[in-house]
Amino acid sequence: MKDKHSIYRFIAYSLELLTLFVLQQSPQALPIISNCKPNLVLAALVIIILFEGAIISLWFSIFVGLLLDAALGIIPGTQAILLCILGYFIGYIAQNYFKKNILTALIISMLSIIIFYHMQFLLLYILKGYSEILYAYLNKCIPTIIYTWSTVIILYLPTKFFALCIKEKQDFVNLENLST
Amino acid sequence: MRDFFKSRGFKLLLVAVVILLCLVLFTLITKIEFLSSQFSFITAPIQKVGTEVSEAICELLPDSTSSEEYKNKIKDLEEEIERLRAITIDYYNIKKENIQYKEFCEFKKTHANLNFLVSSVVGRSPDEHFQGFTVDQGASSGIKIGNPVVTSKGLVGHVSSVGEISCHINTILSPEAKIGCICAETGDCGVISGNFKLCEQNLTRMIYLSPGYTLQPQNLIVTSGLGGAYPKDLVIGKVTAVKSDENNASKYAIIEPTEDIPNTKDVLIILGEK
Repeated sequence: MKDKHSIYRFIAYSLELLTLFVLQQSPQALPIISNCKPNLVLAALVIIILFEGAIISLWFSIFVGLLLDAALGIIPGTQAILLCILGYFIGYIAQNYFKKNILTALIISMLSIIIFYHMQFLLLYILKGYSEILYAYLNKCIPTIIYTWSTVIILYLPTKFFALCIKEKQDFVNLENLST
Repeated sequence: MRDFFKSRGFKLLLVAVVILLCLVLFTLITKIEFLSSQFSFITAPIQKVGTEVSEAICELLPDSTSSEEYKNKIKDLEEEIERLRAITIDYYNIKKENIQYKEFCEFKKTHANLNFLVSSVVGRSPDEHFQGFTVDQGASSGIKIGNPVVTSKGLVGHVSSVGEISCHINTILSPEAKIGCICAETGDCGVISGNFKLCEQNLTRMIYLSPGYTLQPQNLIVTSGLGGAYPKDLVIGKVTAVKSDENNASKYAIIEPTEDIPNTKDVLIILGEK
């Protein structure tokens, strides 16, 4: 029974991530601010990491990483490796040291998004030898971080709904105990 | 009773009936409406005046149509407006598509020696630095890495990675473009290679200009065809300015692409020569 609920929850997460992926990829679906669009998939992933712990976060991080690699047309696994390491550690820390509420979600997501985007900027911009590093950092990397982080507030509720509602009752009690 | 039939009034009645019967018979037989045409000289003006007066009175009187009827009429008209609006939107969309397909057709005729594949833009990643995008054709349609991508207005980029049913396009705004180009008017050669600052303004650069360059703003830049990666004479854009690089070691031209790359919807992928 526990496995059945977990499977439903993971399917819900997967559908949510795929829907957000399609939304963020669609050319005119999201408003463009300062030449940037938010990375909704990353924002949703961070919330999933907060609720699911290290091992599950690892798998979903790989899934999201592969999606992002496909979207950019780069070697599959480039961002997947980044995200799976990040997801595992953030998931471990969140599971053992943090309560699950909107405030911790905002803090953890901010840290995760900052770390991810800095690593991505290093890998996909600086190490590729592109010029105007500071300009690109200030005009692309930072606005994208802020814009992506601002969507965490919107995505927190639906992801929390999946995390809390598609669970066994015993898991509910454990989760509530962890939160208090 | 006998007095009634003998009375003057009754006799007058009989005379009047006979006259009228004669008139009827006369009109029937001769088809001449003599009397009615004479009457119309009197009745028509009176009727006209009467109609105008009654219309004026009707306008002054409150409307007898109920508010319910007006609401229903308004609702019907609103539905009609929505329906016509939808048709109009469809019409403009179809018209725009038609214009684009005509442009594609003209472009294909101009480059009749090349094999083209029409493809639509299906994704633009938020992590793209140089306006790269994904299209809905892939290896199954014969696309290979390096295939040039154009629109009817000009060169857009090249295929950088290929999946089975989609592929990723690197644009000419990217530093990785490295396209051999030539100025159509002056013959100055160079290489197209963008940077982030110019990409934000939908511009790119033509670098490695020779010291004796003669190109001017508004000159047209086209592919040179050298190297074989891109066919010759594909329009890239127009020169907007010539500047020195940060080390002052060489000059480069700022190129405004003819195609609006951030808003491109459909592209042609060149598969090769026929």
